[in-house]
Amino acid sequence: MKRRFLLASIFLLVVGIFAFGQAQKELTALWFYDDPSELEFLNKKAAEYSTSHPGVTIKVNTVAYNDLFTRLTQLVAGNNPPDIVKLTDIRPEIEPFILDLSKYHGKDFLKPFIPGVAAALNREGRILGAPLDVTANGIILNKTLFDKAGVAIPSKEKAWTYNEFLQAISDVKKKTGALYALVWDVTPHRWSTYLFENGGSFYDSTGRKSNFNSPAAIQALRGFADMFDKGYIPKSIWIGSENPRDMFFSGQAVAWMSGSWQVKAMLDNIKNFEWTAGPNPYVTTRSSVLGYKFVSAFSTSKYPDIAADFIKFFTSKENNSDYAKSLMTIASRTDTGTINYGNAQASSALNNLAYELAISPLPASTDIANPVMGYVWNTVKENVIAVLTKTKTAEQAAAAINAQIEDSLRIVYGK
Amino acid sequence: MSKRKIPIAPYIFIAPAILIFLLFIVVPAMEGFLQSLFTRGIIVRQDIPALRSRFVGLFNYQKLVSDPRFLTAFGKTILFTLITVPSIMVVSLSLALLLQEKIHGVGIARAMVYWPSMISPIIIGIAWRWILGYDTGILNYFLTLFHIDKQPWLIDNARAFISVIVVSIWAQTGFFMVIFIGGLNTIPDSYYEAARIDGANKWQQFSGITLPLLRPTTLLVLVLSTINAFKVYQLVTVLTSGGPGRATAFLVQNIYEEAFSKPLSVGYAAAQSVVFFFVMLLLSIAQFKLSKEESV
Repeated sequence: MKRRFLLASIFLLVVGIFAFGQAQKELTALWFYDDPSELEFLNKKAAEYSTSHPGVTIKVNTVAYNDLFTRLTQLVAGNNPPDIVKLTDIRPEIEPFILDLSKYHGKDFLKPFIPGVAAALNREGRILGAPLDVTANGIILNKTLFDKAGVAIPSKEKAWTYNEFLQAISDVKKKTGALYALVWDVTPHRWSTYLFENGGSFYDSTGRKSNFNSPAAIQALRGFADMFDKGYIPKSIWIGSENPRDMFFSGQAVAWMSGSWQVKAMLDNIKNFEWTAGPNPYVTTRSSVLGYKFVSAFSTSKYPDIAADFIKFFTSKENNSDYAKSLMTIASRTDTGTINYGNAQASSALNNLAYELAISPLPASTDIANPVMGYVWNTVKENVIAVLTKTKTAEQAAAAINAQIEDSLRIVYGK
Repeated sequence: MSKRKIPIAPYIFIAPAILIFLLFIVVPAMEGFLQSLFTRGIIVRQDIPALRSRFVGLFNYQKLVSDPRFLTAFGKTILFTLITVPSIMVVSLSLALLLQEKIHGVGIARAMVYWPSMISPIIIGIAWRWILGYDTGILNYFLTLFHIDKQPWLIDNARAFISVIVVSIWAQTGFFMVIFIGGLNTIPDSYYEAARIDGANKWQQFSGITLPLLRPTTLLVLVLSTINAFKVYQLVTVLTSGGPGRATAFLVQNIYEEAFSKPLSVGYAAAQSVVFFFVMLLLSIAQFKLSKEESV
């Protein structure tokens, strides 16, 4: 009797262990985030997915955005990529390993998403990811300082030229005693707003040829340096390493070139003044710059069908709407309707920034989505700084950026 | 004739260390050299045309000789090392001599000097950025309180270079001071007593007893601080991001940027690493040789 009982116990234990091993399907997600509430949102949705799909768990590994590409390429090179990943661009090295979602959800999977972003993730019929949100570069203004100085902010339809804008922020600075007229994020992506506002672009309309050695690009490099030389932007930001966000949050800057992703942080952290977004100033062309985050899966995943299904779930109409609302971003789907952010200031800022994006020229979205861009950003930043420090002329810097674009195009497309 | 027995035990004891050295130093170094002979990206897949690697022999090394970006970073690294290493040695030895004395509160003073070497270089970089920032830095704030103009500590090329050197010395001095104190404690007091009886003054005691007997410790500090200076990366990246422009961009930053921000440049970055490796090897050999000759 005892022996039977022992045998039965061992049998049940073995079956139990085997069944547990079979039932548990763990997927890893590699995620970067700006706001901790995004991680909470992801974990909540992963838990919801696990509840509706017993035996499936999503394990979230986090990474700093600056380390994302390095970490991801190392994981791919080591044959150990995550199942799911949040990305902002797909570098050519990674692309061959990305799961084609059209095989699971059909060719029309991206139809409900904003066309510019959907097009960027559709590479010759292969769907490489599903958009999470859309971002727009834009000017954030310290409205309290404008009101105090009695300087009017034009409507988003009318906007202002750079001359008008710089004059206005100088007046505000002078009348209110603010320390800085304009602060500008130290990223080439944010600088590119000024390139497009000057009517320039990185590539021609085919995306396979550089368009950087143009008078507009040279003017953008020169004009940007002028804003530093004339004291509108403090040199300590781009030439040193001071943080424009801190300068604006402290209430000492009149205007800040950043973007829509800052809205939640501003709402959470700025308590002593009122802020607003836009309108963006322009030189020849009104422009914002498109940015987006999306979620992709790897074809090397043990469970590609589950990874693809989770992406569909996470970017569904309801979840995308929730994502946009809780993180105060611009929704990536067109069928979510008007998002109620629950705060008039945030809603107004996001609407203004979305408007700027809608009237932007095509290269402000297509250039940014070009797979070569990942190899160009660093050179752009270095050369913008070289013009600011007078180690290069605008012409020399434009030629260097142009050469890097041409080289990268040749390597990536073999031309 | 009796057969000479070879002792096995010592080899067994050092086997784990040798295995680790082979696995984590020798094999990656050889792999790095192999990579430097190819044009390749981070990921290599011969079945995917865009990810194929191509054997180019010594082309990457030829390219190095005419690459102003590499040569400038290399030159700056050497200049940084030439200034930082002697400064660290002088400052840490001076502090060691000062804090070796058994006086009241010496323990606290030693802990305060040693404290920066326990902090991550990233934290040090952030802290000094707050101190040296042009518009938001504490140091410039105090200067303006005394009606002195703000100084471009991290904006001007030369001053940024000097700032990086000062912060590096500050960050490492405590560690090397402790090594020097260890070395000083091995020198018997009787030598100094004898010298004093013979009428030697403080300087004569220092130059005739302390310095010669401290030679092995000095060599250790020289080798370690040289390696640290050549490897400098995290602190500079956080403090200046290699700027303004590329005024403080050193070799390791250059290698990293080459490998991760340019297409098919991992082979070229590996070639830079191999050069870096051999420079370090030659410096270490030269330093050890020099110390051997002196001790003979």
